[in-house]
Amino acid sequence: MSPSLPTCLVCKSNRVNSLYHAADVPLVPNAPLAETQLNDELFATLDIVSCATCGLVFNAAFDASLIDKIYTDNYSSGVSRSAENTRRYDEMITDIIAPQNVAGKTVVEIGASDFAFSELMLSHGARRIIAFEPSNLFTTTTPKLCTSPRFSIRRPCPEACTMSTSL
Amino acid sequence: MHNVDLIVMRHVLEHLPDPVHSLQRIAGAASSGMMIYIEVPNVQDVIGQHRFYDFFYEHVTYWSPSLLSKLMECLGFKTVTVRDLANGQHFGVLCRKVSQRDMVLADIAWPAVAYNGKQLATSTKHYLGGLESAIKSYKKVAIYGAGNHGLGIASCLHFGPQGATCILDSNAMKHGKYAPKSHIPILKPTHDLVATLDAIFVIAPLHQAEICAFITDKLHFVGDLWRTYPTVELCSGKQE
Repeated sequence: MSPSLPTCLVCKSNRVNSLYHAADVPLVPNAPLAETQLNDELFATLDIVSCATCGLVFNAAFDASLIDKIYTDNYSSGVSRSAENTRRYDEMITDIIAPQNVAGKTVVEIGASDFAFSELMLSHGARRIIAFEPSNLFTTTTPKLCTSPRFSIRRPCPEACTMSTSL
Repeated sequence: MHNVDLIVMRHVLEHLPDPVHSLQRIAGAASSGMMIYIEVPNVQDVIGQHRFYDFFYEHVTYWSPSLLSKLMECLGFKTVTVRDLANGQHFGVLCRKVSQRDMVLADIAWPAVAYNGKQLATSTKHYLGGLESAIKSYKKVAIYGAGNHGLGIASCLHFGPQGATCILDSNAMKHGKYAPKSHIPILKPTHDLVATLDAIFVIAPLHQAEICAFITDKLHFVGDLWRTYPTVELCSGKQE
């Protein structure tokens, strides 16, 4: 039986072109290992293709059953609260989102990571911030933010978009 | 979700196994006038700059500004702003919900694009070969950057006995741990530690300039300092 053709995640076309292939890549490259984990590493395959119809590039070898192994309680996307990042975040609000779309508004941040961007939106006058973040890694390191009555953290449900019923 | 004015999704969409379904759920629940800001890596820049190391397993999809804008339009949003970020490595799209439209995506005339996989394979081999050869020319060498890019590239390198001694990173949560696959130890960058090194290779495209300045100005490193983006290049030191 021949393997099934990859299906584009946007337009559902099967017309794809191969772009990049790598076997045995770390499942989560940004998750350093403790000494006790060195023999229990998880590896996966990248089969990056581009859709000839809509142009979406995607990993045709992605296995959704591995999601629980990627996004653990300690998952970190590797963000940094550096001076450069703070400057970039401020530019995003000033130049792209626009301050008037934040000040006095109810904002939902999906995937808030270390809450640095949420914090900045609060400082730009957001009326209320609801931050969805699956990782527990940063909730203990942002006590000032967590005690603000204008800020709340939600754990995303299995399907993030069911937030329409949980807000 | 009628009381939400703005949704922010920064570096989330590319992680979702079914991004269209997720956006459709948001679009279906959004009231007219609600804004959404989406930020993702720019695949045109990833491929154009041959950043093979920007392909990693957590990222299921990779987007161009034109494709994402078109998709949002199909879901009833109007694009307000599209902006390059981080020197074009990322982009942000701000959209406003204007209608309850949810078009059949298979019937859309999508923007035409063509990416060159052969060129990417050649440049990847060339880049890794050049980096390995530069690293192996030193006895004591460190990589700076234990983020996705630094650790991703470290996992691709085939080190011999003269591989990197350590990976440096300011993130305290990573100190004392080991890089995936290569098992190189991750250490806190200190003046005493860098004083023992012959060379440091900075592998952090988003923070390269900031890190190079930190290494020279704060750690007072006097050995050879290499940047690795967009090309592997000596920026200061004895070999210069």
